[in-house]
Amino acid sequence: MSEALENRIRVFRAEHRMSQGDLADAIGVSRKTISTIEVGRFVPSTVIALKLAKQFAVPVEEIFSLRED
Amino acid sequence: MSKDKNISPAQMIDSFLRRIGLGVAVVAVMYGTGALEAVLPGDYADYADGARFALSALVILLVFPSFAKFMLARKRGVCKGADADSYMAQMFKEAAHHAFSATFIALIAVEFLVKALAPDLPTLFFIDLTLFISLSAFSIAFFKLTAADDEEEDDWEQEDKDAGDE
Repeated sequence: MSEALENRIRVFRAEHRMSQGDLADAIGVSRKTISTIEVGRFVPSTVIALKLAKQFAVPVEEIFSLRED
Repeated sequence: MSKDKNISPAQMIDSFLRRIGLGVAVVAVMYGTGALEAVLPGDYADYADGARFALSALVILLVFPSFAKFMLARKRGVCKGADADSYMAQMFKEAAHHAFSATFIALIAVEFLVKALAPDLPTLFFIDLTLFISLSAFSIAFFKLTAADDEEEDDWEQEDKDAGDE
């Protein structure tokens, strides 16, 4: 699990009314990949991060950010 | 339309990796049975031999359909780019790292065992034992890493479903 990386995938999914499965199909990964990224168990590759950003039409930094403690 | 026809390439690769993990677990049991064969008396060794044959058939039944589907999809170019970055693929690699460590420790333990406790046992016993430990470590690590179910239904998914039903 990544302690340092936060993501807003769930928020963007809600805005676009997409299920984990819809998003997974849209970017060509499995639903398990999306769900584990969303809960912070899996740090995605740069390619997946960029695909997510492209899907939601936002910069990567709006989806992923480093946790500042 | 069948469920299989709707499955995405990424989903298919995940399922293939799960089957491989399961197949590795069965092969581990096969090697464990092989190690037992060396220490069991004659009659029991025959049973173990029969069990190994049945397990071999099980591995083929478990892995081959999924493997054939994967190879077919790969040939068609459907899986292009979908296999390297997935969570399951990464956990597969991580499980392989765990298995490597377990194998190394097992080899050291077996070396001690041969010298100190069982110099008369055949070499094949130790090879089977080490492979059993290595493959078991892989499959246990893989299933432990991929077991948690993080998939959840969101409120808006339920709302959309309800709206669709009305």
